[in-house]
Amino acid sequence: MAALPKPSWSNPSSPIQAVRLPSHIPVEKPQPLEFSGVFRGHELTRKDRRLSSGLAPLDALIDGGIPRGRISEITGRAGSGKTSIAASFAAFATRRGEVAAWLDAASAFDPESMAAAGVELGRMLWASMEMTTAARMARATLPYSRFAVDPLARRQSAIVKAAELVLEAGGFGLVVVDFGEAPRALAHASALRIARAAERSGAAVIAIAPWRMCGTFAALSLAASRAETSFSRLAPGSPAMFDGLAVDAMVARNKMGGTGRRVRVRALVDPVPIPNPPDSHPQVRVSASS
Amino acid sequence: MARIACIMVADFPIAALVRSNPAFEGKVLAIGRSLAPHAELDAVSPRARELGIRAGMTIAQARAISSDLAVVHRSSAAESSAHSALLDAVESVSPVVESGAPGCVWLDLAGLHRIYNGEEELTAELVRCVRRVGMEPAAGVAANKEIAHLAARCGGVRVIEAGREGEFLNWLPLDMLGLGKSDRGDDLETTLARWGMRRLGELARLNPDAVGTRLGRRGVELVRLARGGSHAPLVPRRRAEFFVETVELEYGIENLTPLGFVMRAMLERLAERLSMRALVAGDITLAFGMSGHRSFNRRVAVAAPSNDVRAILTLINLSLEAAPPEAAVESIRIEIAPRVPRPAQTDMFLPPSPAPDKLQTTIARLAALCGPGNVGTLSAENSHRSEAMRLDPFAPPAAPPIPENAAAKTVTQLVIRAIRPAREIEVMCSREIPEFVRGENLGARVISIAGPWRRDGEWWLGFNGGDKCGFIRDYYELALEDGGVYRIFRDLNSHKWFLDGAYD
Repeated sequence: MAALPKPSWSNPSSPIQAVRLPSHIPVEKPQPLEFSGVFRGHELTRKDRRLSSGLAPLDALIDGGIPRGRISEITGRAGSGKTSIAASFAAFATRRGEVAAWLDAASAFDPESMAAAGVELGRMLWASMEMTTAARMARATLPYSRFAVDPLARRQSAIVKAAELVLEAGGFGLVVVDFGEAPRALAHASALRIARAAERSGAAVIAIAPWRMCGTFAALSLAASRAETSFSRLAPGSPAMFDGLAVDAMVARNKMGGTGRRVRVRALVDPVPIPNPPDSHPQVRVSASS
Repeated sequence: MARIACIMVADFPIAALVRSNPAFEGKVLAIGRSLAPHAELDAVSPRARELGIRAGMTIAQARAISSDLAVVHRSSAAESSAHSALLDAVESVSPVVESGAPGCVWLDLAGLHRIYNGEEELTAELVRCVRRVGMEPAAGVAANKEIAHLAARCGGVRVIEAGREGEFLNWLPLDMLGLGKSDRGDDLETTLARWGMRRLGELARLNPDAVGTRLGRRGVELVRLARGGSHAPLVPRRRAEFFVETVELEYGIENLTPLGFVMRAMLERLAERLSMRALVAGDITLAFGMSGHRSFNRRVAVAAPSNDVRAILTLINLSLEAAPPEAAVESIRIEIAPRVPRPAQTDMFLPPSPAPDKLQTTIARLAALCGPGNVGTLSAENSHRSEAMRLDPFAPPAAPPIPENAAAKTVTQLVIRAIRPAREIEVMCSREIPEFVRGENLGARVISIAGPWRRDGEWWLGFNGGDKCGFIRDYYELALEDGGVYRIFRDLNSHKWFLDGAYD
């Protein structure tokens, strides 16, 4: 295709003049919406908007639920019942039609017990960071890589990135970030990024970890600890059965007040008790306190 | 009265090269038949033309004018991609499009007056669309294809109003037409200049039979064109089922990182073409031409169709890292199967949910971050194995939610944290009852125990190569001295102990 002549707008001999379009017709590309009000003193989320757990004693402890648009931490060592408490929030959110996400650093999500806890799995987006390490390890071990990055750090940076992605998408009512049983301390910048994204999206964010991860950027921190482990027998001499845990939940930090209050919640393997036949022996309970 | 628009790109081979390699933008560039000094130039860039370099000069002559001249080979792959992009840009405005010579397309404007306020606004939109795919077009609008083509050849944007075609043709200078040669091999422009013809209108007044005798069939066509008597119908093309971008590299690429840079630019162009047609990228087929005339083909599945270039590129990188090409890559062809974005209707009385397009993009980016098999909806498989799970694509149901139970609970369900795969542990027993457990990050005395509960399944599958299918396990729940409550099992086939999960 040969070169075309210049359009003859000013050629007086031309009976039909060329259309004078602007010299630069702007090429419109969709731009993501930017919220700029977060750090100008505005509250994009209201503190009174809360997500309930559906557990009456726990909701009473934290003034009706965890705040939306904020990070709430549930901390506790293995067996403290922190995952069960987080699952009760997830169950409440998904059963009322909200979409939730569970970001899993250790691939510990058990769909069977989550479904039993009332979580609508169809409304729960699950993403595991377990394979991230393997997939990205090739890059970390390239010859020109000066700094070896260990799998744990990679997994942790991946889960922060994943949380940001999910929160940026918007429309999620709850995002649970499960850091696993041995996470490293989260950098302030990472916690700040999650907090900003949560505030913009208005989603409630729950961080599950053995210890506090988000520092000052968490609005609420619940410390869970196992108070009692319950085993029972239907009759003396019969096999023992594991009933569940009694969990002490204490408000370790709450920006809205109430720090130090605690409540005991029972988390049972089978929350619906089986009625004893009238002629059977009463259950014999065996408890092991922590 | 039909209205046809013609969109042309000047110096199309150069424009296609600049589109595929934006580094050539604004450079003194020419396409040579070869790279030898005596080889002639086929096309030159606008910057080169400003300096006085013309097509037909030898490379040595052109270099004498400007030492900055870069001479490259013509790229049929770049031209093919650019022409496809031009068609996509135009099809985003009108569904009836005819593909002409490379860099030239026609489209039927029938019915578009309901969308655009006048033909000038319409042509401005066409120009905007073509600029989005990286080319500068010229446009002509007229009653038939030929006159629209001639109007476009005049450069810029020219709308020939109905009834004023004769006025335009009478004015049109013959040197704008690129007349070529007659049937006898004479240069038509020179011959007509010798006859004193300067404009097309003067040609229209000649007798076609007499012109045909002297100039042959081409002369008769010119007279017919000058009289505006040509009414060739517009032949719409079939819409493309795949979107393709091809790049031929001047040298082989051996590493994935620079390959990613080249593919990113290609994917950005493809995403732009797709978004103009309101489509999103589905599965991707890569075809690399490699040194030694070898080829490399790879299909990359995109679980969540999206136009997010970063996510698509990460998926491609993950696929290539797993099994990279065996030799240097010399040409890249990316073919994308388009998908229609999933429509959705939100409900005023339900809690908000993610917008479908944003959700698809997010899932694609999560899949790129975590691996495609690690994102979705996880559910328990209908199996006797406790670890059996199924991962489905995430698609939150649109059905109304389950009615909320107003009565708040006082007891919650205890959840288990799964350990996948089950971790082998060492268990010390006394009279078949576990007393001490030792394993990775674990070592404590058992203080309470429940079980065993036997799970026995899949025995009905028979034997597989002499090995018995199925499993038989004794499960225990242990409260350990370290404070944790764990679920462990003993595999009765292998007589090994495994840690299956921790109650939390």
